[in-house]
Amino acid sequence: MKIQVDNENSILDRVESVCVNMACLALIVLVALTVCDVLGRNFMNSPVPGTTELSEICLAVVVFLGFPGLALRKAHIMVDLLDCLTSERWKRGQVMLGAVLGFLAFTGLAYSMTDLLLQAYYSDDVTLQLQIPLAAVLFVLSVLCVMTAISFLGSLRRVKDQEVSSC
Amino acid sequence: MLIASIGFIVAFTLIFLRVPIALALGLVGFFGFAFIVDLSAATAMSAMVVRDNLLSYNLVVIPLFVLMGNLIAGTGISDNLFRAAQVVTGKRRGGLSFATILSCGAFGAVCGSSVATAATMGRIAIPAMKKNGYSDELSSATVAAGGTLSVLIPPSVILVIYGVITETNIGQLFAAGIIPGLLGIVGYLLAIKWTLIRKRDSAPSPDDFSNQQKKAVLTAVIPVLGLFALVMGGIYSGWFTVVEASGIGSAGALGFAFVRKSFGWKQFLNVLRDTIDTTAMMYAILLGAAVFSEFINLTDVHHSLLSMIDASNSSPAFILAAIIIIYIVLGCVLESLSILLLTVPLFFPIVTGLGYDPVWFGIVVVVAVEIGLITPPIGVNLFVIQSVTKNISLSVITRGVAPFIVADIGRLIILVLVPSLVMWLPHLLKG
Repeated sequence: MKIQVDNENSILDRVESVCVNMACLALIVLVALTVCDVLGRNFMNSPVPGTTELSEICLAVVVFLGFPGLALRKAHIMVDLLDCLTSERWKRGQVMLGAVLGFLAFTGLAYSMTDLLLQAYYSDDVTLQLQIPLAAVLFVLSVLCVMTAISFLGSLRRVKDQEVSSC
Repeated sequence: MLIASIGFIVAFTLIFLRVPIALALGLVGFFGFAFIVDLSAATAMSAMVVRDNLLSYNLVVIPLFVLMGNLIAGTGISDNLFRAAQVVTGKRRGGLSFATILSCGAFGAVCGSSVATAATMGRIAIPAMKKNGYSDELSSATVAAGGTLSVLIPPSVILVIYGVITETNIGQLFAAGIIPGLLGIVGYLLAIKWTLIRKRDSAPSPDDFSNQQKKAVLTAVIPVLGLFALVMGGIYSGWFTVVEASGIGSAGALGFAFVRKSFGWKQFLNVLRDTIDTTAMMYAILLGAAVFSEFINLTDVHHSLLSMIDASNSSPAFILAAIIIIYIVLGCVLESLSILLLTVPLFFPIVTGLGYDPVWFGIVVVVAVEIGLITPPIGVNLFVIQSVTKNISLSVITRGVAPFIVADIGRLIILVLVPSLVMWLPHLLKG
């Protein structure tokens, strides 16, 4: 059983690592895009076409690729003000509550994003300049929502082994 | 009004139950919306909120400014800034503390994060002060307070978020933050002076620099000052928009980092990962708060509150004072971004409805929230300093920080009583 838990977590760790590396790449692209656009516009009178929409897409991808890691490492911002007043068991319960709510929230979000992506797909929604299909972007975001939900569940398995208290 | 109050109570309960703030706000907003309209409307609303907030060009500045700050922090330039500030403060008693405040201000000018400033400067300034016989109380409190300067001195990530959620001009907010930021530096210098008058033994006089050393130290900080000048000058000269300035700033910081031999690929990857984490954390709260604010808007609580204020015949100044006190109290128990996102959608329409300027209100809110960063029991910067120093207890830091809190409250009162201190520069730059 222990081996199974480790395997599951190591798969999630690997997925998280891939996500973070891809997010790093998207961030570099975002910087490069902005610089090329400014230089192109100011010095060569030719800005990069579609910078605005490409930047928006890069931003969305950076953020959503960062979510699974935050969920898995329980790195979301939370208030641990009452930690010193409560028992270790109570604290573990609180962390579990957060993980379960996180799973539910991101499952729900994945569902609503899927709804949005279907609408975009059937109405052939595209970005204004580069004609990038919005359904494709929303599909990626929905998949990342599902991965974040799974990562919240994965973080539950680690609660037992970790020190929860901040006191 | 009742539904909105219940929403706030449930959200706060979940937050204090250690549920991530983003989730607490998002879930309460979602179910509150579903309660008033229906579940399918709430589902559609949450998807639209996520889409609109993510595919928003103005918000691109957040990861880029965070990256710029992290790169600057990762290069070790903070050490140079500290030494340059020592040169400026010269050979006077408590000089290292004064230098810490000045270097925090300078570091804040290229790093929009209070925590990053406190953590970075804490690692450099506290050991230096300790080595020179400064008391733990003064050294730790100086860095904790100095860290808050970056929240206001542009470019500030918190001001960007305020600008986006209230649709206030970010360039004007940046300009408005400069004088209050400088006032903050002056206030903290006075707080150090006061500590030195009360406890003469808390700081000795530092050694002076030779002329050659002074020249070398001051030359080393020119690139950072150049980067700040490029970003802010670019915005106000009309060369770049704020988004473009953030991209140029982070590219400049990247170039600057790679020129330094101490910065390699490993550090670069760590900086990128930290930036991804910080950005994702901030966006999670931003999205949760956006869903929550859709619910709050639906309850129409603003109009109810404005009607109550009208009926009570209370003066706008009294209402404003009450709002500021709420911010200071919240600052003691929550971190700044959450406070901003949780309360601004509620208070902003009321304050602007009372005739106050949105730019001025943004600065006042940030200053009030800043006080919370160094106020126990939550004061985030106090914990940051404790984690950096390890052997200084929280009670020692808390005792030392009291004069700085008084200085901050004094600054807040001045900014409320003399709004032109905030509005002069934005008006000047606007032409």
